[in-house]
Amino acid sequence: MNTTPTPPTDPTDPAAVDAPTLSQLMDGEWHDVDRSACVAAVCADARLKARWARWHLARDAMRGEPVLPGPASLAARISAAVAEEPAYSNVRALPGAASVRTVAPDASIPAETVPSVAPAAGAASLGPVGLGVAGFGLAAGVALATVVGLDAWRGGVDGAPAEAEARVAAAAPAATPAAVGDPVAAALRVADGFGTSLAPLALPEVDLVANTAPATTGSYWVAGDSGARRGEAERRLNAFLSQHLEHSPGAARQGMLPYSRLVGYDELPAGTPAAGR
Amino acid sequence: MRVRHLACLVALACAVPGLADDAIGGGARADGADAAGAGADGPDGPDAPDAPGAVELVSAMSEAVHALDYEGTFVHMAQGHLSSMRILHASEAGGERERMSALDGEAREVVRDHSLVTCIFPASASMTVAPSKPRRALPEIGASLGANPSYAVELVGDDRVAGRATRVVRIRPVDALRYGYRFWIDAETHMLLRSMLLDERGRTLEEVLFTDIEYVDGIDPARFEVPPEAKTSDWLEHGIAEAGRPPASGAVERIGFAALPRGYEKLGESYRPMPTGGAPVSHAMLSDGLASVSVYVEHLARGAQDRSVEGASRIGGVSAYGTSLEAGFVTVVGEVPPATVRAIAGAVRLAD
Repeated sequence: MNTTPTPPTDPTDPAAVDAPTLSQLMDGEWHDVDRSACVAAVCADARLKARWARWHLARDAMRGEPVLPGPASLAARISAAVAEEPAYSNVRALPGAASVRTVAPDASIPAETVPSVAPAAGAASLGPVGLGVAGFGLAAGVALATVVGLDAWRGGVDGAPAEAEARVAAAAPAATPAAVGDPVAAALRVADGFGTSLAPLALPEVDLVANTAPATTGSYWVAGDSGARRGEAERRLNAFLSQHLEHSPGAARQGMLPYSRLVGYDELPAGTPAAGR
Repeated sequence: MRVRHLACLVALACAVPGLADDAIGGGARADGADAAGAGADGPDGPDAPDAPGAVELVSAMSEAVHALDYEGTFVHMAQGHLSSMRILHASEAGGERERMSALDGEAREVVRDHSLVTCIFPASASMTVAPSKPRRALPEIGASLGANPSYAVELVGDDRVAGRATRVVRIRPVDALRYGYRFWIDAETHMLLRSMLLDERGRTLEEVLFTDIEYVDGIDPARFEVPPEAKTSDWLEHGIAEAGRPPASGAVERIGFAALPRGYEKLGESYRPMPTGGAPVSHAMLSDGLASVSVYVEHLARGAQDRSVEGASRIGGVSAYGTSLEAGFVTVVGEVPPATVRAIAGAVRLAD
């Protein structure tokens, strides 16, 4: 007796388990999927397993849930997933590129059709640190882009608010690929805070972001209340910090390798061209 | 390639709240954090007794970080920013030498030797130079970590970092006046291979993670030299003259406190020039036995004060608070919560 609808192709064939099917399986939408066969197919294929793990990881992360507790370290698990997943295949490097540019169709979505992104855009304009929940939402939205351009989501920090907003509008649906090509779906997806699921479409094509781009490097001193950069006061604060580190009895115990803060620090004012590059 | 992958995953963990807050950060989801971060369960919960060895491990780690010769790569992340860095460290009879170089972005470097700390920022063609302080001359923290009532120290399991076996130690604060820590300590050498600074909700504020490390027997001193181009006339050199000057006596006691946050006490005070030049400042060092806080006072009348750092600032796990008094401008800096630096700044009383 076989009550399961027969799919058009053999589901145990890994090639038959495409991205939408995997997404259905992940979302529990099993009504028209031979789940046993699909699971068997996924288990038999390293690439599908990696994708399955990566989607779950991303979804759990976006929901703020604990991520795949298990014996392996988080680093090892993500590293393995990233290594196995051909996520870089759609990335092309542009020499001198200094900003993220996602490629249409999502970039064509007007910012106003993505109302819930506005707070995130506002947070982005505050600085890389004064993010709060909205900022982290933004971070989650561009997490995938972050894989290829580490500083991508900070790109809007020093830009004009409108530019930042446009960038967010472009980035957000990119992280919820099911919405690509459908502005309404994009808005709905984004409206629930990236919390529904990570639907299965290819990663957006993004430019490789240079770490040396002034607008995308560094961590900064920011004002505690507004999150705005401290600007001219940064040098002074750095001097205090340097002295503090050098004379701190706790520096060793605290173990943050004290000067890594200063080495990792970017003192460039926004837009200042870097010398010697 | 290995570093690249690790950098990617750390960026992801850093950027995504579920990863940064819970899977790594511990705190409210301490069990999950242990599973993800430490890789093994151990004594947990506030009632778990201090496991023998945790305090000793931290003490050995503190020594090993300075005493070992090593060369490695680590990533440092804070407030959503990720940096990868190369570190060379040698311990010699005369003291330590250390070179830390940013591997991405601007080629920033800090070179530290027996006498000087040099911070090089090539993009703005600037560097700062200041006298280094021999570690052995640092003031001792009175109470041992195990007896410190402000923290609970415990071993939470074993893990691997940079391919090496580590013991994981968790240090939890008893209140919101200080941060928590998690250390991954090399089981063999006691070198610190991974470190987290956690806020009162268990979220990761800063993290350092070695991706590779090699313990060596001595490093060529030439590798610690400041690059010649950093010494050209185009560079803004601050504090060179002051660097050669012996630090002013610490006998001057001009900073007092009305009431410090619980657990914090003043360790000492000095009066010294700043590496950026300008008038000398009073510098008081405070500690709760683990975290440290610096209080700087620029002795200027209110009208002459530079108040650009007034109010709260922060970078990663470091908080700062500046406030203006009639007789001086107070800046408090430390790896403690913003409320703590603010309370300390408010407690400052200046002697005439």
